[in-house]
Amino acid sequence: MSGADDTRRFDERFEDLAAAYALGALTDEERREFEARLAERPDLQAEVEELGASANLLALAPQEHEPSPDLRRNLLRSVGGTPEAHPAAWETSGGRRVTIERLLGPGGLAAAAAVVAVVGLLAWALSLQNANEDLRAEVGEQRREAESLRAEAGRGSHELRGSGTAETAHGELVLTEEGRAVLVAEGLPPAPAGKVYEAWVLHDGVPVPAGLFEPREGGATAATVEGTLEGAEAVAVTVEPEGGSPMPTSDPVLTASLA
Amino acid sequence: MMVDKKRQRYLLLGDEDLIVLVGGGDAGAFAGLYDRHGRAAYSLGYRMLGERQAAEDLVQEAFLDVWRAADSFRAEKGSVRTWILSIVHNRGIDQLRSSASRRRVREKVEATAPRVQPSEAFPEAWRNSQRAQVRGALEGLPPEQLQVLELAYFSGYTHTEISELLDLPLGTVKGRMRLGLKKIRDHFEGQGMAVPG
Repeated sequence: MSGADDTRRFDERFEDLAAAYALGALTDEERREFEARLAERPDLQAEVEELGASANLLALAPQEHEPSPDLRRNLLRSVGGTPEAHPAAWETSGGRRVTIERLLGPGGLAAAAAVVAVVGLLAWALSLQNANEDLRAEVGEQRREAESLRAEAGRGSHELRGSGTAETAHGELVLTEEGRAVLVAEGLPPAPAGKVYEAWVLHDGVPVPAGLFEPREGGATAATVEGTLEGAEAVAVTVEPEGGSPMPTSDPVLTASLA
Repeated sequence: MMVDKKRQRYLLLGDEDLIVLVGGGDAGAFAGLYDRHGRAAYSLGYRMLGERQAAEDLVQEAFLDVWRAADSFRAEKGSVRTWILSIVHNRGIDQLRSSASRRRVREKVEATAPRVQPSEAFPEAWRNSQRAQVRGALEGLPPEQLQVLELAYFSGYTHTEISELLDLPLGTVKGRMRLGLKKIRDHFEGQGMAVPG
């Protein structure tokens, strides 16, 4: 059989095989053959990945069950540690020691904890010293609004913590008497091209859209959180496609627990 | 619940940072990953094997794979959670197919999943909301497509075995798999959402 015939045959069977492959429903032999043929056809790779992403979602469908505490204990014993073990330090290929403290930045954990705890309007204001005058005026207005809201609020604030692509971001969620909130943060990286930040209020485990925003230059942000926070468990921010999403499509980069 | 300081510092890190630390032998980071994803992994294992002890053994082996192979994780291929669950799934399928006394019965479509109670911990609540989205997508599938997807994904049957089990032409089984997966994708895209990674 010619190579062209071979290719045509594979193309004809591709769609059906790709779905079964994504579900893990090929025999070992079929799977090996499919992978070998796929390696020669990079043009088909994207469709296989799309089907695989849909199949992977099935892993989240089962009803939740709690494993026994023994499982955790046995696992940690197997890897020679306990949850309370000191973080390991090891040499990278370049000989640099890497620790959790380094990942959390210069000054280590104490500094990280301090930053997370103390940060707020003050840190945010300090960051503005590096902004240009126009920007400073614009953000200053928002800061005054936040401060004014805070002054009238009497309902305090909640710490906002960064994670993922915005792990160094931090700030406060300032609450007002009317149940409104302003999200004040520092250190948010610009959203990737074609993306925007979207705020969410979590009610009974369901995220409700609460507005889109872009951080100012330098990562300072003050954005009003839309909707009510009455009875809400948390406020979060995710990166979403331009125009926003009706439901979040990525993990949060900023979160504040209201519990 | 108060979390002690040593454990708390791992909570500040994202999954991708934790996996880097795990690659360097950090047992605390490994515990952090288990705490975030162990329950989902166990729930998947339990759904596939149907027995508590078998599911725990499966999850134990899968997480030891994570410990040994953390360096091979590639973020561009998907999230850490997806990677961990795919290890559980692959091991589960191997086990289902190799077991001499494969306790594999004709699957019924799982009854409507009970509503998950919101957790005090935000990340948990967030994962629950993603789970609810996935369940919403599955509930929108025609039962015959869902049945084929479940037989393949959770019970480890090959397309040929499903065709024999359900007494359907092989082409029909393959078609249902393809349409089912595409409908899941369409469900998310129809709401302007990307399929979660």
